[in-house]
Amino acid sequence: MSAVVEARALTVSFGAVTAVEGFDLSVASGASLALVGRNGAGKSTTLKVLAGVLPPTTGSVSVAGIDVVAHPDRAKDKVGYCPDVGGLIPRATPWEHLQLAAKMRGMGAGWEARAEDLLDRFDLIREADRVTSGFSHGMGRRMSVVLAAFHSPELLLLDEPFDGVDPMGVEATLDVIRELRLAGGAVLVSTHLLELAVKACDEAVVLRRGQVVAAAPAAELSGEAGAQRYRALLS
Amino acid sequence: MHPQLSALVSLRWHMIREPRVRWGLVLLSLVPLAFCALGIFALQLVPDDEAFNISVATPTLYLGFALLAVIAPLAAGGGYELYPSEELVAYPVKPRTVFRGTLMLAPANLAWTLNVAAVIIVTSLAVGNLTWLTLLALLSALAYITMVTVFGQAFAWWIVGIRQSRNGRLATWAVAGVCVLAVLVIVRLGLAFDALDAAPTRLALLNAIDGHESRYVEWLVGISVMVFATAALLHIGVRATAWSLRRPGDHAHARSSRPVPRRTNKRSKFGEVLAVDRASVWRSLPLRRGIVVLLLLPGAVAAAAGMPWQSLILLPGLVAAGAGLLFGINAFALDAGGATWLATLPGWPRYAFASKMVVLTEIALLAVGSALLGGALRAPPPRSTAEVTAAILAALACTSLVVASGMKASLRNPHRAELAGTRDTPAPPGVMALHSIRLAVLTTFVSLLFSGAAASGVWWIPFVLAVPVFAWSGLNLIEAERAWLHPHVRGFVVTTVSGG
Repeated sequence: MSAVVEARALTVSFGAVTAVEGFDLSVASGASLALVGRNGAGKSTTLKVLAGVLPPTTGSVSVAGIDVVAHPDRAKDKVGYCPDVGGLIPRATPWEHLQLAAKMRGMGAGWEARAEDLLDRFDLIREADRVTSGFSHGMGRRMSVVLAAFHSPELLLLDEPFDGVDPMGVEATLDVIRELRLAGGAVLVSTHLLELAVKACDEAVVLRRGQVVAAAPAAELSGEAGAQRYRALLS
Repeated sequence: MHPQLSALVSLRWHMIREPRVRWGLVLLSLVPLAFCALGIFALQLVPDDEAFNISVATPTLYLGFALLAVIAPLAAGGGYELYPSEELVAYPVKPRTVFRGTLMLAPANLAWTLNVAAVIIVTSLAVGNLTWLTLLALLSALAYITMVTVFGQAFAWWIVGIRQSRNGRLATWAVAGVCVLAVLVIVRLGLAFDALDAAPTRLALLNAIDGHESRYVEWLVGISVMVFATAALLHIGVRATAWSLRRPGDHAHARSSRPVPRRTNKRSKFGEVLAVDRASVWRSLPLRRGIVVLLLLPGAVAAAAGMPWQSLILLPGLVAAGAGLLFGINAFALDAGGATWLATLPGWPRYAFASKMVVLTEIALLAVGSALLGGALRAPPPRSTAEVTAAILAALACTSLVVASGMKASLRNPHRAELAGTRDTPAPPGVMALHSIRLAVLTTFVSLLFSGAAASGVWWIPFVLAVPVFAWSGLNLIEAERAWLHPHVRGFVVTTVSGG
């Protein structure tokens, strides 16, 4: 299977602080990968670089064969991103977010049906015309996943998508991940919730201080034995 | 200072990481003093007949300041805060701390600072010749300024409490309507001058004159009354703040849970980005209030004062600076947490800069236009066409300066700001104060140049003067857009305003 995302010797520094230090990453079409690790391990920074929010300091990143730095707009067409913090314009409604996304991504007629379907599945259809500043944390997370999945991207990047989300929302997110993988997309999930990472992904990468310290099938992090192994990798 | 307040102030001071910003703030505190000193000595050069006219209008200026001292904290929902309220929600911050904090930040309001300077400068002239006794007169003016500011702040907190309920909001609107109506009736009946003459503010000026004319006992009694009144108002203000903060509000929740009418899809990408940015401005409670105040107050004051065109030229610059301070100095904060998602939309960076610039320009033009229009309604006929062209071009030039300066500041020094609560500001208090003075100095300087051009009486000279100002603004905007399109700069701005 071809790789949807390829990162080589990726390094991201903020002044004297190096958040991500020279790691390689590859996720194949139809695969899903969990990024796990402690706070400050570099998970969110990695996703921000893949999404085109932050430029890498050194190294190369490509999405669906497109260089993220050289052709940012073409790469962004292929990516859907749910950030770890916020992710919503506070005084815009979900529908206005979707209108903007549809226009910017050049989605043709019929985007409304897709938008309504997603809002319905994430139990947000009744909130479609309320400004998002009034949303609870969980509602905000669900809406961020809707926006990330809206254009059926080839690469779905989900940063803490399950944080504070109710079981229905978790199920809806897992469904979206499954559908996207069946359609040939790749999914990267960053989360602290190990059991959900195992449910959502085949493979897992453990990060520590910006470096990959282990890569294994996600199932190996399951249960008490998996949790113990994970803790050992973190310390 | 109260220990809790001093701890918060100290933390805020230590949060300023750059030494140059700290030095800037120290120097900034000296600017109004230097401005006052300069103004006091400059006014001594005014001819006697003009000096008399200014002296006669001093109680009205005092009254105007009292009005501003009430309106400014009212528009800000009680006044500026050292920290956004949600950042302190987990701590037992006392109402006394909140009240004194907002009081301490009164100088962060550009209009307040300018009016304080005006009161001090004009008092020095109104009391007579410049002698060491002028210091006593200025002490009276300072006592008046303090008393009225504390009153305004206490009154604003009381109104904030009343407006927590629907009935309270209706009642305050009704009272405000009656007040406006009463003013209109008084003006219509030709009683405006009698009313102004009867204003109690003349007592404060008389106290200043007592000091200047060595009537020490009268001066001491007058100033003691003001000091005691201030102490009482401080106590009342703390009580009003405690009461307001205790009252459960139904306003913010009702507003955010109310559905918004769905708009039609825009035809262009730029149209979509612009529609979202406009909504972000007009749906923000503090921004909407600020805009309304800017649209109504300067124009109304200019109209009421019947300002001549030569003075009217100076007004739009300060109004444009006020518009820039609403959100222009941190324009990308409009996107707040949504910035990280927006940054992943293909093509968004190209449209985002232009859209923020357009929204800021619209607000600034609306404000300066309304101020000019209000002033023009009751201004005496212009002495030359040059005065009219200078006023219009000064308004446009200052708007372009504020927009260019604001967009540059938005990239150089972004901040996370929700702009949701009534007391929210686009930047921390110190930064707000720095920008206030910087924009005020810049726009006043340019306005003075246009005022000089108007005095020439040649209609086209203001046009010649406008060319370099527009060119400077244009070049700065191009430079700022280039910086924004650089991924490193944009990444810094986006992650900062989104809090990520």
